[in-house]
Amino acid sequence: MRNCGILPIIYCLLLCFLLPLSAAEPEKLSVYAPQARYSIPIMTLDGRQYIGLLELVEPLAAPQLTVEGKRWRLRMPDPKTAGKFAEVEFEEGSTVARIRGHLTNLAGPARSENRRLLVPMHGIGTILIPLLGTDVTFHEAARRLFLGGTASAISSELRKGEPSTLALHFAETINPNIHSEGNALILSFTRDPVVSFTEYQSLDDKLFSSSAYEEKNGTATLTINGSAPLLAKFADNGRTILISAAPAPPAAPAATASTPPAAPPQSQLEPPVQVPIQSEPALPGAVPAPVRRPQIPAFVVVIDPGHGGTDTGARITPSLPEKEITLSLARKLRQELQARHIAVSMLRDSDADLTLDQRVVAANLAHPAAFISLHAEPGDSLRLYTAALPASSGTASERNSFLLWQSAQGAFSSESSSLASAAASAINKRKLSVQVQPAFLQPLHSIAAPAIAVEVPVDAKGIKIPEDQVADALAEAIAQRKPNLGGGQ
Amino acid sequence: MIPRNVQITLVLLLAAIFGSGIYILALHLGTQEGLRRGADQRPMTAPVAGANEIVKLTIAYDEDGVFRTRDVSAVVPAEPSARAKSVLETLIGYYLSKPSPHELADGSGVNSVFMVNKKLAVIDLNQALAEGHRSGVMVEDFTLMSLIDTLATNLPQVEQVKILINGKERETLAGHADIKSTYSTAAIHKVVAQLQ
Repeated sequence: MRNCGILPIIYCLLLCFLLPLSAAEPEKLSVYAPQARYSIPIMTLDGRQYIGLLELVEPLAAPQLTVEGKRWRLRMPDPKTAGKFAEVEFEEGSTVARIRGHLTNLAGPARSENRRLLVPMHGIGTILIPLLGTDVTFHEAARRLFLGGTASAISSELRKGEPSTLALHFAETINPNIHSEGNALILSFTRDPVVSFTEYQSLDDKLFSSSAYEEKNGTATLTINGSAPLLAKFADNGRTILISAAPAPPAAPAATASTPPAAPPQSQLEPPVQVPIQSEPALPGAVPAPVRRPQIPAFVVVIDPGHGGTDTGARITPSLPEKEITLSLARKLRQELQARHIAVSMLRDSDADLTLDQRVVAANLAHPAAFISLHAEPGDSLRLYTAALPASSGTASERNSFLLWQSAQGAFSSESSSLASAAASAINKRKLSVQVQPAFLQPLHSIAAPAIAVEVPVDAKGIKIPEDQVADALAEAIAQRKPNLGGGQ
Repeated sequence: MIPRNVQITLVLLLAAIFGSGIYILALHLGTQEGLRRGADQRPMTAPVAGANEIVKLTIAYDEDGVFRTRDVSAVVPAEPSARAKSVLETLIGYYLSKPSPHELADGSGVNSVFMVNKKLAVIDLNQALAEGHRSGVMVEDFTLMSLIDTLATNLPQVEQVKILINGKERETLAGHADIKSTYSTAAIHKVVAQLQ
């Protein structure tokens, strides 16, 4: 009978352990390198935090990963010497890796999970420094990894006056998510490698009381506390943020109700995931922080890796969801476009959960020159889709007039078809077959820019056609159509 | 006296055995239910009152990526809602028969079709169709277009179609095809014609 009392205790213990896990925010590592800013998921295995090595270095170079039994070999172009390659070898379960021929101890055993090579996050510098030959600064507790000396400090300058202005200076154009909570203005930096050496600073001013800096789960947050609602404005081409008192709200409440939500700044590096897409309800007595947009790149391509988060897309195998394939292809495409000096904005660069409406808003806010949605399906054919909408005149005046949510793409039908044709030609040139057809697919219908969707054939092993060639062909088509694609309108 | 660690191990083992037992039992019952359903000769569909007519079905052929029209004989009532439901059930029945040019999940069906002002048809598909549908841009679009074009061909007065799943609006059929929009039958027919 004594055993009967143990069961409820075990259940309670399991519940206590599992419930907080299910509610926890997904852990991610933000990586800041001179050539790319991105985040990758962190996995906890046996109480140790792991990251995918290929995901970590893929945006930085063009690595090749080969597997022979339990041995994983990663080969990538040597960033220091052109024409040479750097190699790293891991053995599953081993805490020793061979990096450029030298044995290095890892913080834990290398592992493989779902055909991915995982290495301990702790002490990742021991792998990256010899592999990339670059400086590595790792804020492990905050999960922020700075490569190549990208970290730059925020400097602040309080300009006393009536009222005062607080100027925040940055080394480069920044792109924070800004929102207000009461009299506090909160700036969240996920894509910007900004750091601060002061956690708390008291500001001896009538308007500004203090500033607080915190780093957590890949994001740096700067909170400016004031005695009245604050307003942020960008200056110096996005390298300075000027914070001042917000103007008093207008007397007529109807006027603010019809004001569109403040548009956050966008650049090729800012993932619209961070954009407060659905404007948050203003707190009583507070004015939402209106943010003036810094310059939008004249030609930016928005890539939409289909699905993400709880929306896994097609289940190719139980462990291979469509969302992973689309993200991998999106990263390849970004690399190819950036190699052609084309600015890119990814709607998600991690396992983020975005609704179709959020994708549309984020894409349209970026004023893209082209929009590419990526999908994968078990099958044999590579397909390109354009929105199945009746084509309208597509004149400049029509595009600048009010466009319906469900049919905004209609005004761009001819450019979308031309882009699809150019992409099909580029794919055919690589001796791959492709079909072009119309589709009833969101977010395509609501995109106010030339837009196509790409569906690659997959099987249990992944994409059935060379992923690099598809990405290369799409990038080539966009580069070729560049003179005809507007952007930044 | 049994040591505490052995007691815990035993309890965990018993729980694992118990859990496995439940899982095996569920599998067994599922198999039995499948066999019973297969052998069931009882009438499962209510008889439909109406004339035997030729129904034109817009059939999707996944392998070829095209649509073809097929004429089948079916009993269709005169009342528009019942007629629309009967036509769509005939189409889904065609897809459920093996071999199928465009496979749908077992149990796929239409809950009901509501006619609004004679011109707008609201098709309420059942959960089995959506939940068991293959995920992919083309396969989902083909289901959508096939349903709408078949309905419009047999009920020419229908100009717009809205699709619900189990009485609720949702964004996509199975992750791709947009079913939040209200579709124009003319626009759908134009795309179907391109793929014929």
